Amino acid sequence: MKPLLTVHDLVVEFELDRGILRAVNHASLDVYPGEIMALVGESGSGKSTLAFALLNLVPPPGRIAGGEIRFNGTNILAMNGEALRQYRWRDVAMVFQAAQNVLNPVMRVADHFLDTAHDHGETSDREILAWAEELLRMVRLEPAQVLRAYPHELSGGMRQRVVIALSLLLKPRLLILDEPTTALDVVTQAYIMDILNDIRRELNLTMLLLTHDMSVVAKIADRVGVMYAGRLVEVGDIETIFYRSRHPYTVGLIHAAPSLVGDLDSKRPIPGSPPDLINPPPGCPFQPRCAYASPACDEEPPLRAVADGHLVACHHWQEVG
Amino acid sequence: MTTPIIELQHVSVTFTRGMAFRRQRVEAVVDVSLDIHEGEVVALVGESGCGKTTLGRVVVGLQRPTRGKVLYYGREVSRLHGEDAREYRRSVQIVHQDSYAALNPVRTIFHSLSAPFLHYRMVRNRREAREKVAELLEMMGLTPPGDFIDKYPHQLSGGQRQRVVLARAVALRPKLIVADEPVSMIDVSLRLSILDLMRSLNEQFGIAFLYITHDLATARYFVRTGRIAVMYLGQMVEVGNLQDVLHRPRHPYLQALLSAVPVPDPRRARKAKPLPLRSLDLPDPTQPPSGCRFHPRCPYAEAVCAAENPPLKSLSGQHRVACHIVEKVPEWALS
Repeated sequence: MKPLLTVHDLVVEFELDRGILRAVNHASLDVYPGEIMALVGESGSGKSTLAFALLNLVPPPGRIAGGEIRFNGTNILAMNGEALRQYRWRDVAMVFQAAQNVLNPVMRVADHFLDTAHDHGETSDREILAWAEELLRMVRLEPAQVLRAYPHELSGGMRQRVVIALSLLLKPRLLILDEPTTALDVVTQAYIMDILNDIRRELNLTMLLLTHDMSVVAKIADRVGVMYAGRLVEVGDIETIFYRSRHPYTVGLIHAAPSLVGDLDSKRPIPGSPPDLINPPPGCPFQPRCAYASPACDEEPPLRAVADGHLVACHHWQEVG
Repeated sequence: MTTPIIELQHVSVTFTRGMAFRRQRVEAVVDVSLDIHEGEVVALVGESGCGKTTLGRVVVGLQRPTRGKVLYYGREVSRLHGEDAREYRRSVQIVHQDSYAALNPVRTIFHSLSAPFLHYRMVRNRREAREKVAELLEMMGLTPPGDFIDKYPHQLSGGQRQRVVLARAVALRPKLIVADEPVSMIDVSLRLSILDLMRSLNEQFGIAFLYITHDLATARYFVRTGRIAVMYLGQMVEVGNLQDVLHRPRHPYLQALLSAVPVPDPRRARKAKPLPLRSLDLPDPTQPPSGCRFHPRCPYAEAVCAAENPPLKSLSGQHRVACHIVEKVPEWALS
């Protein structure tokens, strides 16, 4: 199968007073049609910056300093003007972090749908609203009631679902979700993940899910890319990542995720702290925190295939696991 | 049994906002009783808006209860004066979620951490203060102390800053620390290290902890053999030994909550089915439901649930549940 989205050797830099911060560092990634791919990493790992780059929306002082992004074969970094505008939302839509707060407080929900559609050249209000109703039903909201409401009349979980419906308005093929459940309570969070799974099947949608939470990944992802200090350090399917990981950071993240079930003695933090990206350590960025580190790690390991569909960037991958 | 450090007796806190004809009342905490004993570890859990933070503020004296009493070693906190009031404030400390907001950004770590020693006249001069602060940093795993003592808060990572905030709380050797979501803003790889530090402070110095969180998995990790108290919309719905409560949750709310917590294990996570609720959303706190506040969402609710507020009843030993129909609620366990 051909990937829907290909990121190749992407570099995104921010020019700051203290120096140049490389938020995404030679990252490569494929996303296939119909899958839910999770990008997991801590704050500063570069996952949100990568997502912004996918829409060619990196905010200044950041800039894409190298690499290539192809959607359905087209190089999106070469796009501009109307083509780029159509690519955003029609091809790829994004639900931003804390999305329950992005709705305009003085606009009814229906007008959000109408405005967005008009802006992208749709003219029939009746058709737009009919589709909006269908989408709202898909996210398990009562369309008649919700379309008339102002954002403050809805709960956080309901607003989040409105934003997901809104993101699907122009029938994008890829939906990027940045921490879609982080600010919500547990019951709503489980419900939204359930909804996302349904929508994916119903619309044959591809999703790229950004999260710091291994439990969210475990619930919903088909494949996982693990990011650390701007790099992709491991890529594999969900079972490989959780049960046969070959990267010390991935293994560390799984052990550092507390759980309601299972052995507490297997749980432990990762020692040290994430690196300063302006003055990064030489070689492998995880080296200072890694139990497997050796002099070989002063040279940065490439991301390479160790099994079919399993990529690892670690000199010591054979010892890990 | 010994006298508890803190005893909350039928504590309620009501906030009002707006004026005259549009006044709104929110009962953030409703008739909650809870003891915290020396050296004990208790988790206070619930979702946002359940009143757990308000209750934590009551414990440390930052919030006066509207009704009910707060006792410190058997004496009412609101009647403590002079040296007694100072001792209470020194012995019951709080750590907040946002370590950045908790530290003055233009003061060095030394400045922030020496303040409690100087205030309580526990050191004679600056040199002694530096020794004390260095000792404290070492105890908190910020080693070597020389790398941290003259830094400003923004020069530290989130995890290091939270250690500094904990150090300030520990400086005066308190009896109890109320830790309100101390790890929710910290990187996932470091959360357990802060909880480990809190546990070692409990084990080494016998400091009791009230760990306030929305995250049941970290509550389990931190509390181990201690107690858990679960709140919903201001009310205490279930309390007991953490292992008993997680093993055999009895309140329909707690069962639903536990069933929805995601686990970092795909095979388990994909088999798990959240228990259904009659409504997904929390009711408006200014117009709370009558009787048991959970009844409009509860799949088992009966007429009595809307009519009367259920008291906490003992099931076995310390395990208590506030539910009229607890005998009819099917047993449910984490799998």
